[in-house]
Amino acid sequence: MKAPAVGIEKRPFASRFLLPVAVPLATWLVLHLLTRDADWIGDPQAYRLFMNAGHVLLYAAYALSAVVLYPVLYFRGASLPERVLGCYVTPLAYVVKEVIRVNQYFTVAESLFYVLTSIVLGGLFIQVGLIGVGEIISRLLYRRRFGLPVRVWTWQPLVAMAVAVGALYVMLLWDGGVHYFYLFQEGYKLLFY
Amino acid sequence: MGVARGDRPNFVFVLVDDQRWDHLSCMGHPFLETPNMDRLASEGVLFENAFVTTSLCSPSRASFLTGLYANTHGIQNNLTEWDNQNATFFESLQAAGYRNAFIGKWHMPGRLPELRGVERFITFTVQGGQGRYFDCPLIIDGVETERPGTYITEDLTDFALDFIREAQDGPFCLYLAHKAVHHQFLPPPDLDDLYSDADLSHLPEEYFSLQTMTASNIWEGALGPMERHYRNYNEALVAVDRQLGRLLDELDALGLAENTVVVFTSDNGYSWGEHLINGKRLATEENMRIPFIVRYPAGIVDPGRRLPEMVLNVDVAPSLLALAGVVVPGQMQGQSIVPLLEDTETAWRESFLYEYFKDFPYNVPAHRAVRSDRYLYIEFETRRPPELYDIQADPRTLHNIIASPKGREVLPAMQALLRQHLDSLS
Repeated sequence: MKAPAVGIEKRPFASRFLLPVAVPLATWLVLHLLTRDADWIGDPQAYRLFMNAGHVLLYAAYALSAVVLYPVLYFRGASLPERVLGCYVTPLAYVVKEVIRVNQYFTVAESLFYVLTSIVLGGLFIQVGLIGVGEIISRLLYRRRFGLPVRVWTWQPLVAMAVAVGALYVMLLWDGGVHYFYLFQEGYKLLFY
Repeated sequence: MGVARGDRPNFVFVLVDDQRWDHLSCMGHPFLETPNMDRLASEGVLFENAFVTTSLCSPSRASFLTGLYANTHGIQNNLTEWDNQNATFFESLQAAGYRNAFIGKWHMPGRLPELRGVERFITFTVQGGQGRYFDCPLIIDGVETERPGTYITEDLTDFALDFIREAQDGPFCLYLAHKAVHHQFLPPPDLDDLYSDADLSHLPEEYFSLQTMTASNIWEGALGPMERHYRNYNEALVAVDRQLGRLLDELDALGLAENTVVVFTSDNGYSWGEHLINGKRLATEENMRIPFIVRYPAGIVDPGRRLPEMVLNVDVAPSLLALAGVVVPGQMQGQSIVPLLEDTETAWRESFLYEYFKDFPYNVPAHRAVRSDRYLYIEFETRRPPELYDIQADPRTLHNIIASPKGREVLPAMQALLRQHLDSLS
């Protein structure tokens, strides 16, 4: 899963990592701020359209941007650790934001435990799978662009996708996530009650 | 068969889950049709200002049963366990010769209780005690029983009807606590499309479809467009109304209606988009206010009245005991509503205390509030500053007036009132 050396130029750090990573992060941040308070939109229909579309884009920027970001990093010559880290920057920013936000309701320790909720932790697991998807996409694009024989379907990205699907099933899909939720609550009681 | 006027009344207590105070057709809902709830109101007394002291399932249910505030009975949230030392009204009624049944949602943390005073205890524990709308396994007097092919509102009502028939020689007390209309808000199949085309323009202007998926609301477990859930909620309420009708019809058929007190209420309200909230907990009108109807043909003067007095969930236990002629234990913190039913002069509360305790991971700060007929004052246990609302001028609590000249004038009295209520509890 290393960046193919042949044909791909390793760009400077700012170009291969900072700039591509900053785009989804900034998109998420701007959308987050815009959708926090949209009272300034007077028309109710326009307000709802904006809020609904804004939230779809917000979720996409937070949870799904790795599908695009990973190949971009790949073709700018980013190493595997850089690609993985880059995909986690926005989700980790979300985690930090959530910990700070819920600290208005809970203690610091509880706020950190909050990271284990299905929404926050699930978002991190989604990235594992998307990194696998991004790697496959990158290899397909590489093969098409450079015409070189690259093995596309190897076990590593497939395992990454399987881990993500398994985690999402347990956390969000298994009876709507209630089993994980009650497990999570039991853990909370054990630690904090 | 049947009981003469003046005998100890039977009790049928029907507790809906998450039904808002204004979600009955007799309260002016734009499309919801609840003919049986309306019938109860027209034949009994409808309390237009009924509230819970904590807007959350477990604490509120414990308050109904014990007549105590959450900080006294100890069920402060959905994590703290029921203490078997707590006494419920069932015990006193049984000692007075009543046959009692608890049928439906218990939903308090920990193991199922040693519920003293009931001869039938039918409940469920699946999904953390929330139950399921379809095929919900029941714990019938301690025995786990599969219930394939059932819809829970109807299934629980079937058991309730069986109990009424069995105990008709009375006196009896039936406590029927529905799973409906808690999420996932699922109606029975024949009602599934009832309100598919209903006009939802009465929903608050600030709501948007995907607010169910925002970080604050996601724990309510109702993902997807809010409109779909709201339509389902109303359809599930129609199913509750339909089953209420079966209960009322059976009381009629058995000749028990005259001497049976029917209490119809909910464990808390629910916000459908107000303040961008889906859920309950916070001390707002949408969350604290509940439907509250009492029908008692043999004991209510001038049926069909609508009363403005503030009644609370903690009033139920002392009221049932008073109606049964049983001495109300001194520790109960509620007040008997019997004088209101009899339309006699009585000193009544002019404000009440509201409590909400931390309930991890729900994104609502712990707070205490006092509500009078005019003002609502809230103090949070976190860094969120206190809030003050003029309920009469601003029933949707949109404008915090705490910093306004009027607010500054009212604030000391409301703060003192809150301290006074807290002191009285401690």
